[in-house]
Amino acid sequence: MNFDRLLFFRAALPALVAAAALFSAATPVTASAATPIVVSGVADSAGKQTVSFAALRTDKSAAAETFASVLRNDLSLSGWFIPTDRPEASVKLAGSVRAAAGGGAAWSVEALWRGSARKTWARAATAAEVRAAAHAVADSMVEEIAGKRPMAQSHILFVGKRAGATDIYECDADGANLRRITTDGKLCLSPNWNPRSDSFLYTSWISGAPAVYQVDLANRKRAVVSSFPGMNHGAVKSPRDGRAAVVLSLTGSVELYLLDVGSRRIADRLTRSRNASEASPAWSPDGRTLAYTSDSGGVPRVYAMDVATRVPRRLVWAPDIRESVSPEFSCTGKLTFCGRSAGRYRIYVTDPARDPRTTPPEAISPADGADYEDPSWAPDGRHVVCTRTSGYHRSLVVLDSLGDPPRELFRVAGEWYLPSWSDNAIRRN
Amino acid sequence: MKAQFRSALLVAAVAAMATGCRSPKGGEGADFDPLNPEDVSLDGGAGLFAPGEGMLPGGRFDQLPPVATPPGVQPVYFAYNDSSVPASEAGKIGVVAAFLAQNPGVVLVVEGNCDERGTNEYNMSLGEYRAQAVRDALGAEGVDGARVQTVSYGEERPANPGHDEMAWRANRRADFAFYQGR
Repeated sequence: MNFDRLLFFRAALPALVAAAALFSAATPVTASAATPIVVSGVADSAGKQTVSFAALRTDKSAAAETFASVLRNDLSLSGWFIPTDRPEASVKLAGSVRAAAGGGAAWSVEALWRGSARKTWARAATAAEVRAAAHAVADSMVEEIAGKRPMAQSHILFVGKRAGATDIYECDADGANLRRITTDGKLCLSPNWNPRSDSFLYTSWISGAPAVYQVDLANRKRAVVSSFPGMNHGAVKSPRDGRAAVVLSLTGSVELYLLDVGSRRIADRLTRSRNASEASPAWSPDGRTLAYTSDSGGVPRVYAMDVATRVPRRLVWAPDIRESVSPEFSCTGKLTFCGRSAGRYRIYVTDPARDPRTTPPEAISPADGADYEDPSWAPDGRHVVCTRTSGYHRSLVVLDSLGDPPRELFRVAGEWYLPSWSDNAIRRN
Repeated sequence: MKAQFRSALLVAAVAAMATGCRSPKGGEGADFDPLNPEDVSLDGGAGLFAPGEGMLPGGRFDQLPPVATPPGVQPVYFAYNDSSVPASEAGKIGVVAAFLAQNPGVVLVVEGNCDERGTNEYNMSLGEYRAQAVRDALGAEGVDGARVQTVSYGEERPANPGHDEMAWRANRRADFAFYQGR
């Protein structure tokens, strides 16, 4: 073994690992490109456009290559484009990407589509900004050319367990830039982004007893927001008024409460279900409806309540789904949840506006013998990240509600679970 | 037909993911392997926060000096998906109650745990209910409820890391942790 090469390999690893994960996960997409891409159910709305990179020149510098490969990969991951090196394509890119001072890149990228439509993206970025800048261009293309919601600039939070130490981690939507947020090494669960995606709530046992902490990423601050006797779990902030729904057991019974995060006081109690448990609250985009899990009917099931009236309604009626847990609303109001069917946990998508008795949820995770849990919507309202458990090993997988094959988010040794996907605009300053 | 083709694609994709999984056993507590290229050091050990920053202020028994678990004190075991203390375990409650009666300065945290079956969130509730059931049983033996706190670890702290019936039985339990109150 050439040790120098090994060292080089290790130094370059963060990028290589991400690239390897993407390429391996992308393999089936490439393979299927020989035959037409087939998508289920909603095939027409999933129409993809080919986008040609043949006329986009790079000077082969590292930064220019990074820009081009990140852009190309983002367009593919969006689900709306098929990048190609052939000159014939629905969308043609032209222009150049070249090295700029300090290891950065400068580019002028022109897109031509539908015969006469055209737009140019031109900028320079430092080496540290190249990836983010490429994500921004990809998102702009998704919005301008495909007319769809973007996701390339979003981040994903999750729990990671490495060498026995559990912490909160974060990565970019393409699985790159894996980084650790906390360094406590203690049991922690359920990170949930706050509405502006500049901070998040999670439960940690760092003090011995579980408490909800708020992490302010922009100011690098952490504070306790819920530390009542017993459980303090699943806290998630309302997009409406900044209050959080949280699971507490302070009366002895596990119930949902509304917490005023600023004053750390309980604002209201939402459920009264003696001898039953509530879990995993999730807000609708307008903050008026709260979806959650309750086993008051004997088995865990997903319900939604109008927060003003507190009247719950059962959202999942499909007879083959024996349990349903972990609901989350997309930006367009669709619901994803984890259901137990034929002994396995699967990820489902449904439209809560339709009658759940006549509209069965659609399974979007593969039936491959693995368990899929903890779904969280991407800001594009199309993709869902979730935990995949196979052989007692947990990893993060991105599913497509329109039928593209799943992709592993990244492949790094460790256990990775309980993901939460951010809004697309991350505010850090 | 389309659905079948889609399934084939999904299976192919997941097969591709599975072949890359480096440790088939994977799992909890896998040792960090510095020579494995996948074991990247993510951030040189420096996260955004120092360990313990923003930690919960006092009031919890588990921040008091620990007291060694007295001989004879055993975990209380539970039936599957059940939080009531089985009659067969009642003797263990009596041992703890007697120890607390003899040591009035000692306080107790009851730690509820579950086996790995079911969802994490459900098991967190089940662990809490198990710990509460033990606290209630201690109360019935005359222990002042103010001396007992509960904590649930759900399925996160198995006593036996295995995945069979024997491990599950060992993991459906409430542990006792004693502390010096005053």
